[in-house]
Amino acid sequence: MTIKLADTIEWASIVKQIDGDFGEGVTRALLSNRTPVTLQRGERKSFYLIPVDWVKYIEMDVGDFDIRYLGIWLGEIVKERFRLSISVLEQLSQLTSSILTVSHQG
Amino acid sequence: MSKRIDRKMAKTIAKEHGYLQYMIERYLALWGESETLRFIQACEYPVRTSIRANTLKTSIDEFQERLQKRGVNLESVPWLEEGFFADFSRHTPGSLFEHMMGHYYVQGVPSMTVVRALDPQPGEIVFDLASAPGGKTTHIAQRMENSGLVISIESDRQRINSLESNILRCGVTNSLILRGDVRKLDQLEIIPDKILLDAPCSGEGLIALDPSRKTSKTMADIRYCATRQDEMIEAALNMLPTGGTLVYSTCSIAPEENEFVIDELLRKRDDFKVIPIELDFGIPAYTDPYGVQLHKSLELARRFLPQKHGLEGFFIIRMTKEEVT
Repeated sequence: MTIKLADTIEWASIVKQIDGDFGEGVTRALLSNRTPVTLQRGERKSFYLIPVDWVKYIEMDVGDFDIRYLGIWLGEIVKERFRLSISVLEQLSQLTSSILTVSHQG
Repeated sequence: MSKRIDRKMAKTIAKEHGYLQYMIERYLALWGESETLRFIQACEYPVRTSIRANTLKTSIDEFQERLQKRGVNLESVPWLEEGFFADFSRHTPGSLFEHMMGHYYVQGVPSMTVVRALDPQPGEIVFDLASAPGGKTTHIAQRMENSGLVISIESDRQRINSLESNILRCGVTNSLILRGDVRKLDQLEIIPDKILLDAPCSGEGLIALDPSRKTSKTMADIRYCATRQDEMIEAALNMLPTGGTLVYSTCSIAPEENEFVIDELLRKRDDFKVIPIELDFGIPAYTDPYGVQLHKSLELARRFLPQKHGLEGFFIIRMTKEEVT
């Protein structure tokens, strides 16, 4: 598993989806002074938000260790569809007037 | 064991209380007969449930108010402002909405004390070794107010899932989880300010929580744990910069996994020293367990004992790395 800075095109489509659902500029507010990175696990690509000064850590050699999680888990792309993580909903709810509903269906 | 022990007495006590004989022999050599019996008796009573208010999600006042409304009786732990003994009466500790929302973490008082002994500060880089299921990682993040960086290292793939889940639930945003072997720490290029090693152990301090421990581990298991602990603590010390802090702890009462491990290191290396823990809890660790004279500075380490504190048995020591001249 390797950590990479988020691909610009992929990130643009996520911004479009989040802003489309929750309001223009919400993703920028959610991001604040962080940067998006990705972690691929099989078919799942997870997006995490990390402080900009952590980029040096993800560029370091971690030897036999695997990075499993870092910063804030934003969500993941599964079968070309982005799904928000439940962990950002609390923060998101403070940035939008949209109503967030959590259900088993996703 | 250099102290003479009465094997016949050990055999009788072991048989009567369902322990393996080697355990009672060690307790008799360590404490004598009356304290051994007090220990056995203390282990027959359940340890009081305790929880830690998670100030990343709520304030201590709000936490107390919400839980009291739910009928949970809280009693402060004197040396931990975020720690409480909790009587959940009709609820189970993990069943409340506030638990799901991460307002509190169900955690033993000694485990909370370990993080306070480390004293992580906002903005620091802290390693938490053998970190699943994440009680200490989430507590460290809380003390650091979600700033700096907590590198949480765990080797067990399954246990990492519970670590991730607790990090999410508790609103931790300053952690980086690595899966791997702590003994290979030197492969990392990140230098920590502080390291917490709550080492995997034989669990001899948890008999009150798990009575099967009376018979489930042999002396060979304790020796195996001690060897691994020695390797892990050496790896941790090698990573620590001069002036850095290392807290080592176990949930074992066995001197073989605690005082003897540190004593051997103190004899082997001259680049670290034991320093006081600025909290008032427990009793000093042993400097002559079984009659074997160990390094005097071990008296700065602390122990929790079931028969003295009504808690899990635990060992906590704080060390700092020194420049070698």
